[in-house]
Amino acid sequence: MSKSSLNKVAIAAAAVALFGAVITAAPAYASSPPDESTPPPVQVDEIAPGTPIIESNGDGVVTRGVPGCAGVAYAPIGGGYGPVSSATCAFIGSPRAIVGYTWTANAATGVPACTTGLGYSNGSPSWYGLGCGMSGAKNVVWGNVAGYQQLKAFTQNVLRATSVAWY
Amino acid sequence: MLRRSVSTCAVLAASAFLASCTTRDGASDQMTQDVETVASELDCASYYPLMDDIYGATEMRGEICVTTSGDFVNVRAFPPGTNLSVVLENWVIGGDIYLVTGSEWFVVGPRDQVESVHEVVVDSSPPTSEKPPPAAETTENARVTDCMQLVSSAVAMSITDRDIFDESLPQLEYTAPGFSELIERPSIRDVTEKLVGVDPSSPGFASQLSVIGPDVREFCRSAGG
Repeated sequence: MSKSSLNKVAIAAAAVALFGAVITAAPAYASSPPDESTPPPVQVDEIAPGTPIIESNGDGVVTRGVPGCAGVAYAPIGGGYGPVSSATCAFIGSPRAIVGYTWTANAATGVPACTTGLGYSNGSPSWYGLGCGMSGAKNVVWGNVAGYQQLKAFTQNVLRATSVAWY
Repeated sequence: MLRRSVSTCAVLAASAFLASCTTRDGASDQMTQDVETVASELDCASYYPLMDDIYGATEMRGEICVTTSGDFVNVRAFPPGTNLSVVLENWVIGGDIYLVTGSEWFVVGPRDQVESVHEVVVDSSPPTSEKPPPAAETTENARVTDCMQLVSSAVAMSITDRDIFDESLPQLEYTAPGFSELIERPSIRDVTEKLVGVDPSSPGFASQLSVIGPDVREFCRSAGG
């Protein structure tokens, strides 16, 4: 086994131990659906080869993200809404998958934020409130979808920009 | 063309949709008619009307159809001039989920279902598993969409995660001034009170929550930039 393979296994093992999630690399899922009786997830985003992937823990079971897949959402000065932030890992869902969002506002700025996260309900996109303040966490319905989680942050101070780290 | 024996509005009239059905304008009439025309071709064991898109700047009428085999089919109709590529941006299309579009409507679901619509409805596109590339949204539409995603998701949070909502309320009020007043409007409270304890992932929840769309859009449009 190569050193890089060992590292991937070590990361995946640590992720399972800490968060109950499995990280693999694309495009493994595309060529080998997990179960013949279950329809493969609908891919809504282009997933580049080599992209780290988190697979659903199963139907109705929460799959939390991992810090190694962290994204950063910026909330610009002026009190406006920041651009959408995509996760750095893709998530491979299952028919009733539930995915977690965990976020922390930049402590250096001390500016709280409100956040919303993307999920899917009955086949259509839905935005879920993830709470406001300096940090938060919430689980949202994701379903049988393969793509990137998305989060938007809304700053609480018109005079100061801030950022939100999330996974 | 086959038509449903019970109109969407008759179903809506039995719920909190009544006021919107009786006061709708011409564009709303057309949207409702488009939804009924498309939905009448589907094999629905149950269906759930949508009064509006609570996450988007563009007005909408729709229906969630649950087929006899348990699949979901989504029908959406919009006012004239709507760019469907914008409203389709985050939709789940691909694999076994296909898309058929008309000039101002679309239907998303299993191929056999959307194909039955295409075969009957004139000027509809053939089923495809590819979304059109999204066009750029106007700055004002993007602002209203962002506001609606924040405000509507916060209203839902007040039902499903009361603790998080209560902690977040001061910040929500700061980000969207007037939010505290909005959520106390009778038209909003009627919906949120009825939905306590309802499964938030169910189509019935989405259907009833869609009633808040016009109030939230008016709030976000008047909030300014």
